[in-house]
Amino acid sequence: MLLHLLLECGNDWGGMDSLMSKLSMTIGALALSLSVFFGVHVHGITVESYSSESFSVQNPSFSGGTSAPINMNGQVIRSSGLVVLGYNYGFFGIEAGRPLSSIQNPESNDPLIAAKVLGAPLFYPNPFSISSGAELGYKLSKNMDIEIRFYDIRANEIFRKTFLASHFGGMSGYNKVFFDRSTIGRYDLPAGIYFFVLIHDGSVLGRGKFAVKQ
Amino acid sequence: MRILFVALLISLMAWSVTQAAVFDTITDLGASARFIAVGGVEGFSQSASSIFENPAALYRVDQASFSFFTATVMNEAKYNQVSLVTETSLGRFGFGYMGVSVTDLQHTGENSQHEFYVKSLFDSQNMVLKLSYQNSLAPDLHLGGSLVHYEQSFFDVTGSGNNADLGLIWVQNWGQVSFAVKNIIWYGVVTYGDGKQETVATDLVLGYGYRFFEEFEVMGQVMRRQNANLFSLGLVYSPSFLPYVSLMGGYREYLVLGESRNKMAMGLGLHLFSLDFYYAYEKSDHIEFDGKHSFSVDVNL
Repeated sequence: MLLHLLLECGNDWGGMDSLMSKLSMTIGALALSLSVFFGVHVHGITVESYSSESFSVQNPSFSGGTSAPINMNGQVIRSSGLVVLGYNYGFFGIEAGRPLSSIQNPESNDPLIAAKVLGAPLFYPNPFSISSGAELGYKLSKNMDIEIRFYDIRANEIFRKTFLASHFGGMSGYNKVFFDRSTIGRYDLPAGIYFFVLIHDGSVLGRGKFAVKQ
Repeated sequence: MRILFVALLISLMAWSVTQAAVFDTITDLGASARFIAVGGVEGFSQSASSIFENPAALYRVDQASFSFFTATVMNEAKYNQVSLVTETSLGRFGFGYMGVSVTDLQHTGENSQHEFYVKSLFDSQNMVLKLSYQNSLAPDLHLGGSLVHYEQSFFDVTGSGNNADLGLIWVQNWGQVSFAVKNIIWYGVVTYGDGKQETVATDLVLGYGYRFFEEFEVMGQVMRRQNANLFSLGLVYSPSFLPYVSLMGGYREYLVLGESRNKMAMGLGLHLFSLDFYYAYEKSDHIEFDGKHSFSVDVNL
């Protein structure tokens, strides 16, 4: 929309007798150009920037990848007052990727939908080094509170974390949660096999195992 | 001699271990159901499984002993232990194997939808081998030692290391004192194929046991591990009206990633001629599995 406006004003460039108008249009065009080359992710309160080699802005109504550098954490993107939930490849509030489940899919909060973990939750990579970490990916049937617990090979609980419904880790669709040494605690996990469960409302909806190497 | 022995025990217990021990020694679960049932107190077993506790306790084996242990944790981790001890004119020699295996672990990838999938399956194996020797310095002082080999493998990861255990048992009218140093080689490590290493914890274990009224045996222990003192207490009741049965209970403190925790356990023993059957139940943290069940069989000749 901004591009359309700029083009309209550009066609009428000669008719502009206001220096401020021309200056505003120039700044706007420059901002749009820079945004093509620099993407900004809003991670809650942290803002990161990265350079993109090539961008193609896609219609957010269908899923698809871009060539943009990817940070695969589900997160909230805020831009110009627009709250966007779901997978993000986007920049400046333009969502180029997976549909925005909680906004575009009104069934995400439907209480009649059974709370399920669809498919097998998996760690990637597996095995992995605790210093470099790995992501746990799982697909939820709806927005729901999810508690993740880890156990060692003697069934001792070593870690527990809860993700709230409609927030990172508790969203309808595919969620990815990153774990490494800093996430789990100050101790390095010894190399070996560990087990995890996904719990909702006191019931285990999913389980799995992963291997940690040094 | 005895004063020197006691002084040695005290000084060793005051020894502060500063190394950061990382390698996961699977024997922490317990090498026999009896061991688990009495709260993990070491050095008071009468079978070949003493190889995994205090090798000096092998003095209680008459001619030969065979021990077998099995447990499945979370329906996934399968533990097994097999040990054999025989008496010779040179002393008692023993061999022990303990291992845990987990199958169908997933080697994963990421597809074009940026979701994870299973590329292939692999298994894991973690085991301990011990070669033990026991001899008695005096009728009331028994010495034992073990060479230890650790090995762990899964996917493309293989690690191994060696160490040793040393144990003493001192028998008196007022009870028995058990002392063991496990992984006595300072800075012993397990080395993996990529050159990375994990250190192995050196444990100092001091225990005391006493039998009274011929029916009750009470035992206690303090273990020094990673600068933490861990206490255990065990009780065995062998009713005179049921000579083939024994009831066991125990309290145990242990470390999980440096954090001290505790739990209770209970067990049952059935003694038929040369055969001893043991069952132990220990509470589990797992939400789906209330407890851990283990079984062991000892054949003592």
